[in-house]
Amino acid sequence: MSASTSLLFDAPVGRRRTFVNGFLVVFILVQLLLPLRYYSGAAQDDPRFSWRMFADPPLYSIEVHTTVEQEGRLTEKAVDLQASLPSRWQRTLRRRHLPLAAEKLMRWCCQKDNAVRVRLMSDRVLDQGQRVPKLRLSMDCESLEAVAIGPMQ
Amino acid sequence: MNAWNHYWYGPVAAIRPYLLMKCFLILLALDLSAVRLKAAYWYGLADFNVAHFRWLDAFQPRLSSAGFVAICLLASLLAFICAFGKVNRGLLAILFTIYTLTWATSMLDLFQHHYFLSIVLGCLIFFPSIHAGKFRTSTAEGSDGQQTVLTSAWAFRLLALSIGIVYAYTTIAKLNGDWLSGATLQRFVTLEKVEPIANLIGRVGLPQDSVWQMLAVGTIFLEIPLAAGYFLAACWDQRPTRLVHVPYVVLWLMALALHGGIEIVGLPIGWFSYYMIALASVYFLSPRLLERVARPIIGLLAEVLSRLQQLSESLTGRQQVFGLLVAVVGLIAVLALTGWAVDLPGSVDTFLLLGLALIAWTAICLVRGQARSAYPVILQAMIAGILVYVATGTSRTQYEYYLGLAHEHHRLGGYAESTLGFEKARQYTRGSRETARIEYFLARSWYARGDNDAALRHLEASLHHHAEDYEAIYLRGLARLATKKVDLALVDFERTLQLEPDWPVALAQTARLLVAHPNPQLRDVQRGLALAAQADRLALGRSIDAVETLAIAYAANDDSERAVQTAERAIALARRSGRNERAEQILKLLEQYKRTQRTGSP
Repeated sequence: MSASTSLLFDAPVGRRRTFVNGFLVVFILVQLLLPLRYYSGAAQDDPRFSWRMFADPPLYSIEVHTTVEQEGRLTEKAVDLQASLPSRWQRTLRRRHLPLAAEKLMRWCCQKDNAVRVRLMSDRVLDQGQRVPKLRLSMDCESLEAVAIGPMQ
Repeated sequence: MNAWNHYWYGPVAAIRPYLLMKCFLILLALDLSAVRLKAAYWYGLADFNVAHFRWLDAFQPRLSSAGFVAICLLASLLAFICAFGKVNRGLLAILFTIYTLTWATSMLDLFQHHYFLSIVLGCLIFFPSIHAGKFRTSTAEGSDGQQTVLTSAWAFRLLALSIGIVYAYTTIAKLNGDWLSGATLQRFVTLEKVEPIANLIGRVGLPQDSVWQMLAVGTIFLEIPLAAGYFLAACWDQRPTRLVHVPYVVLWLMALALHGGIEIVGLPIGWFSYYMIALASVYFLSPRLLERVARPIIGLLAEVLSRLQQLSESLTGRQQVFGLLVAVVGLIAVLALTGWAVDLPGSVDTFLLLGLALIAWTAICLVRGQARSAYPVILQAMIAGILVYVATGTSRTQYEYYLGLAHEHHRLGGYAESTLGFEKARQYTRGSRETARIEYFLARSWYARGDNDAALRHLEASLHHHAEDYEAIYLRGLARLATKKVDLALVDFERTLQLEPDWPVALAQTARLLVAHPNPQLRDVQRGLALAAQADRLALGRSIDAVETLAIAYAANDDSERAVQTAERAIALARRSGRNERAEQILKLLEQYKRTQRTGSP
């Protein structure tokens, strides 16, 4: 240390240093590995925690149908998401393929419409307007468990 | 092992972690109050939410707007308190947890920057506790008055490495054809924002279109050295030669170019650029320069803290208890007043909650005989409350919060809530144009509630401030139509079309009125049909209203075949978008047209 400097705090020593070293290794490994979840393709539609800024995510269409009991008969109807779901959620659901969000949406429809069953269909919308089926889920509103009934890509 | 120890535990100029802590926390506190709170109205709307993690979704209580306001305000207040006082790891850990909740609690906000800020806060918890007085003493004691104070700060280096990792991954993410061709950038930035650069490129003989590609590739060329620079940042404090200064100053300029450029082209990323510029300044500028720039503020802070300490030390026994009582009463008064003035749902409760927590903490200090340590924190909390109020007021947080809330309630059919929201937003309007808009929104919400008189009153107020607001004139037409002032309504619709001839909504409404006007002299079925067809064309066949109006216009023109076809198109459109009730209504019209087609009479 030169004469023109003074040291305020010493580095950790002994068991404390071992603990800090362990913490450093874990912290760095998490930061290095977490984004790989997206880049390796394991979660290719979910760029969260990947540091992919300014990504232009693909567009998805979302259609939800609820089956409700009316005068002893079961009838299925389309849910008007545009009029009932906050617009920011609509944008999130259309821009991100998030199975957890889809499941929550189905539960929400179950409660909102007092439905017996909910069906969700999500397609990836390509540039030319063609649709590629992405997600087909069905939920029994009593058990609130979503079951895949079509492509899960 | 030596290299490892050298990298993590080697000396760092103490001014760096000290300034980073202060600057970052102040920026964070302001960001939360002035930016994040504006979007708080989305939380809990329609009772729908998805957290970032499945376990959090199962664990967290039902999210509400007031709840989100509370966690943002609490994080902002704590950030200010931490910034102005001594390092308190417990408080920083609480701040880290609350801040992380602000983004983890909902996927409404998918900006990755918030996650990055959590990493910074996580590292700050382990920063060395450096007192402002250390710099004052050391510089005074140094033989040349320029003594560099060093410290060991592994967390500061860990943060540098983390920033390097972020830059490295953002670079990797850009190594694709879409980014390299400039196409991605083109989708986020308008041409006018990069026009000066495009002109410059044109002047040197390159095609102006290449500006996107050059900016995209240029971004990568800035990010790669920045990543490397952060991996090695702060190592240079061990051997601070002039030669080492140069590349770091270049790196600082690169960070300034990258993040300043992002702000100039207007990419919507909140305050992220400011955070990154502040971090680059702390890591890349020389410690001497940092000390020189920060000395006046550090000196002032050290002076205030030492005066406060002297004051608290001069009090003894009963004076100490009485002094604390006065301070606590003052704290509660300031927090209650500022919480009330912030005027957001949950703001008073949050400020008072913090006040009560501080009272409890003061009582503990008193019992332990450490009453003196309570004074600075009480003062910091008072300043924090005032600063949060100033930050929300100057950034117009309240106006944008209530306006956004009212709009979304209106869209979802909660007209009573939307009226309340617009009334609140009206308290924060500035200028006659803004007042005109708010009055119009209020009118729209009263009209939706069926109170046409209230709607007309607000519309008169709106048009008083902006006489040529075509939306207000159109709405006045609707309100007049609803109150059976049909002739006046037609005048308003015609005026709307003069001001905005290609607005499908007004075209369709005018067409409806023209084909069914009660006064035969004003009825004009042919013009009605032309306007309806124009509305449908301009709406690209996607407006249920326009298609339905066209069907009505065909029927009025005795063309029942086309009326049937068009009504069927309207029904299909309504069903496709889930508007089943609307489809049922049009179905009745269709049956009527089919009957006419069969029998020849309506």
